[in-house]
Amino acid sequence: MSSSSRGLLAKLKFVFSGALILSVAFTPAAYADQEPSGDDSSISSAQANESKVFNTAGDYVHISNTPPRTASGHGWWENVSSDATLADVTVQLQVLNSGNWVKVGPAGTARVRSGGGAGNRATGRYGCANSLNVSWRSVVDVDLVGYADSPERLYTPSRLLQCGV
Amino acid sequence: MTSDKIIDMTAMVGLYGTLRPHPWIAANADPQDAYSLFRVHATAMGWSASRPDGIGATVWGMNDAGQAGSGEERRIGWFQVGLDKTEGALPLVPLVVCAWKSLARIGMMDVDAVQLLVPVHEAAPAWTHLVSTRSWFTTADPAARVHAEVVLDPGADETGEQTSAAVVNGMQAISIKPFAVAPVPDRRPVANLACEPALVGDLWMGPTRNPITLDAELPEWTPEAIGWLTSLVTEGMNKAGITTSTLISIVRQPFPGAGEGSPPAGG
Repeated sequence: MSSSSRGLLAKLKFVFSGALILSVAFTPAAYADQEPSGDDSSISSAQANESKVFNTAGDYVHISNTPPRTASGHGWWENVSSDATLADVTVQLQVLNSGNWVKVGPAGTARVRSGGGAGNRATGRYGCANSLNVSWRSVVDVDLVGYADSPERLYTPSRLLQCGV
Repeated sequence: MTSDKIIDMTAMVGLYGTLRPHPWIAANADPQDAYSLFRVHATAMGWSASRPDGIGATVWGMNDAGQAGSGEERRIGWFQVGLDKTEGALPLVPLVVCAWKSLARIGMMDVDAVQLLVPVHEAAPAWTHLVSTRSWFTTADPAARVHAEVVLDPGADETGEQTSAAVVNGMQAISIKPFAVAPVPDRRPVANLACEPALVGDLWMGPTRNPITLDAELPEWTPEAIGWLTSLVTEGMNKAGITTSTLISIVRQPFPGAGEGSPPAGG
């Protein structure tokens, strides 16, 4: 499927849902196992748009302070003006491999309230195979429960960790 | 899997003592914890990005945090951040202040020890910063003065021949009053007990240790003073040739009795 046709389907989905949450241009995000290296400043058109109804948030991927050595990243959402009370937050860890961001391990998912408070964060984890220096980031996706929303995802800044895969 | 020491941009801070949760905390309809409070406070102060897209200069990005699950744990809270590259001094005062204020939102606390993991290898010379900020403490209540033991643990085989005297000598470039630091050549540190559990173990520091112990006086037992002292000893370590992630413990102690040796001398 081409990027343009995917964008069209996304717009149609919004129309038929009758609950258009975010009126922003659809940015194709073909998440396969491998993604081209791109802007890792984590900005998306939805998050830069004043009409946004929620923020997608994530912290730096890091090595957990307790053994075994594990890469970890959290994600959450912040309600701005939507009527949703819950969202499914997904955190997918990625490593930079030969110029491409490649996902590692299963995504961490949680259905949480907004704000990132106690018990309201999703966590992605991956056990390090060795102590080689590798660049890590996470991709955080938020799906409002019961409401359509935009497909934008958050890319957290790249961090160099002694955590090989 | 190796046990290589981890040397990166990670900084941590842990507070030890007692924490009695405020009665209204458990009933909060919007429950917060050490993680969320630390993140929000750092955002409010401009120390960490308020926007989740990472736009805007910050001094650190959030990693993780935790708080004691029961009143019997000595470590009442810990916080981990990833420092952003900077040419200035490490943000150690903001780190301790942010941790302290976040836990104080949760309950009444009595902190008697603070432990930090400091990426000393990332520390730029901080003399200018130390000189420029020292006068904040000259107005402290003289009765608030405290004595503390400072233990520097650079981890596996990193101390080499360096001693507490070498680290203190590394602080002699400026007057550090109203702070004071003195070397302690041969005394078993109390920090191992006071800072239990430690922020990190062998996973981060490696299996062998050769800690350095110092005596210190602080004009007051506040997060600002603890952070400033940490910046000072970080500078001393750098000057002494210790440039690696180091576990720094600062444990409040009773003042030594009169005649029990020379008091620490301010520079």
